[in-house]
Amino acid sequence: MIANERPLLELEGVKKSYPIKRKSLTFKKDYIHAVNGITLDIMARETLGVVGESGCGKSTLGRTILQLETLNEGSVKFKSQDVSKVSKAKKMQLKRDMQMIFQDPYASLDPRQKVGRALEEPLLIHTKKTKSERQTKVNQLLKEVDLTEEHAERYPHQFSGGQRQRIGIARALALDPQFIVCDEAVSALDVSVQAQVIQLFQSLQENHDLTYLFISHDLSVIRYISDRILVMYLGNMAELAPANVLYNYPKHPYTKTLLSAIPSFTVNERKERLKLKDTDEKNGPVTGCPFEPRCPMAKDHCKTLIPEWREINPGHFVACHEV
Amino acid sequence: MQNSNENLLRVEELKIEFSSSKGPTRAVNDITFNVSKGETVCIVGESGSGKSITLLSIMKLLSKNGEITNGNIHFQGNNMRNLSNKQMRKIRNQEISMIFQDPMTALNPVFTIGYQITETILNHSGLSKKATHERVIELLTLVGIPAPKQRIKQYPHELSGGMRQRVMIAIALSNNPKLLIADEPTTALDVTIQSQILDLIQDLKEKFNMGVLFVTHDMSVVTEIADRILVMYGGKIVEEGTVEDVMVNPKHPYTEGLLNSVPDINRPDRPLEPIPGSPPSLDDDIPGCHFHPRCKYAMEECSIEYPSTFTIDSDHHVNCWLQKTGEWSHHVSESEVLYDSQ
Repeated sequence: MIANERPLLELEGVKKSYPIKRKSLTFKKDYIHAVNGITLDIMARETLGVVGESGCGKSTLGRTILQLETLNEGSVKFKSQDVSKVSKAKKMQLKRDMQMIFQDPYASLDPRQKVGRALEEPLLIHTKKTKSERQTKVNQLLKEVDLTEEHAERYPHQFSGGQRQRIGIARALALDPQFIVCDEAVSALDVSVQAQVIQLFQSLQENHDLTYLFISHDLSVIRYISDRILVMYLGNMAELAPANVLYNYPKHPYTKTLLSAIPSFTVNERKERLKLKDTDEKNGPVTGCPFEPRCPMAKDHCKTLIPEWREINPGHFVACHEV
Repeated sequence: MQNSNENLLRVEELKIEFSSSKGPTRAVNDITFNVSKGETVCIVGESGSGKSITLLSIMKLLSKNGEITNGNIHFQGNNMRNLSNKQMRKIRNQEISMIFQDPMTALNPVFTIGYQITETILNHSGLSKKATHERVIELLTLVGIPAPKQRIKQYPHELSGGMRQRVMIAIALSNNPKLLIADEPTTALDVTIQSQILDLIQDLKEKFNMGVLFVTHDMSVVTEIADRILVMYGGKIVEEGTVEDVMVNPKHPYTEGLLNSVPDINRPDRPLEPIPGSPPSLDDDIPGCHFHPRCKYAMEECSIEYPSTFTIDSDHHVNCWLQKTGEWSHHVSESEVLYDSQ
């Protein structure tokens, strides 16, 4: 990361909320704030990891960046262009530049479509390549993810889980994107295969100058693959820091709790774990710190004051009164 | 651990076959192991290794096309293969309980959780209604569910994933089982919840001196909770030993490969070394050692004959021809790391 380089993606106060069922006859609507004000920059060629518990909004964040969800507030800029305000032609170009890889590769492939055809489809829509050019590109894509040309003639059910995920990756690469959102992309794989796919992600990043937003709940995988890590809690940013800093010097009580919960490779030693308070409040308090109801360190002012997003060390941001 | 008085469960030379349109496929092939009182045994393996099938066969819950073709399962000295369905229903939950991976599919969505726990207790214990009600509240408190009196009136969808899994554990423990079988109970849960559930299982094990048979694919979970580990691959146990033996001094190339495939949270700079290829499917007919097509140490004899069992020390056994010469030792050599972390 070079300091004076412009970030590839700039997120400014991104908010996404969903209406939930009204309980009374009043006209007031309730909202779940899935993503509640995310501001951050993603530099070219970096891997930004996003962690948090299920329901913290990490997937929604990825989908909002890719315009798969329309955002309610804020803006997402890709190469200084606001993605929600571009012309139709520009939008097509943006779709080529930003791609997504999903958790379940079986659900994201059409069972009745041959793999070669699935890989060819984005080329048909987005490029003017001739049939033979498309064929060459498909073969090249398969090769890149360590599959062979013969695999193009097969159907998704004929592949193992790891191979299917490779096909998902090949399809995301078909249009030579610059930015890829990997949403739990290795979570469903067997341990031995997971390591293969992680290595594939790394080598592709080097060969194609890719930028990843890597979403996972697996804290060991995130640490291994990420340059910087964002910790999210109920749609809010809790902490953002370079991977090593975050794991060695966590500041936010939520980050500390997450890290203490990781089962370690230490034989016969039970770690002292930080305990979160149990709470029924799903959406956090309206005033004050969103983490306050579960925070073991909460003080009175946490209930009333929303913590500021502060840079406590260069590159290390945290939202907590007590740090 | 070899003391037979303490043996709760003994599985002997178990073979399980499934019939399909392509003919019979063997899911579990000749496995033998023990679980003692107060001991946690972990079965580690990837998809298709036969680990879940082994658990289901102990509970006699195999689907109709699955059949135990050989071997015996002894529980407290009784051979379970001779039991009728009626006798088996008594054993389930009263003596042996099982927790499944996905608590949402294991709980009935149209009944309150209070009803579902009450049901198991009434069916098996013959307590009065009032006593049962108190027992339900006691159980929910035991598994750490806050405000149990309100919770029993709630339906599964009103609870979070971790809460649901705790309800499952409460049901499993309702009749003080002697053996708890858990099939990936924390895989679908967040790390924070996972650590709570693992701690809970450990606490309850110590409190009631239960035997625990725990299936997982997560090596770090294994290190945390296991007393003994069985590593399964292609329907066979390839390595068996205490947690120190297997994690610190693995003797099978597959165990070594598994350990080298997982990012170690304490050593982020260690490069991953994945095992090439993918786990074999049940239809694959691999001669010799099932692992040899993926094994970097494979020798000629590995593809011809299945390796016999070599004993490293009293509790540590491995099925690998490399032990024949005794020259090979693992290259993980992270023993110091395993002990020095944090």
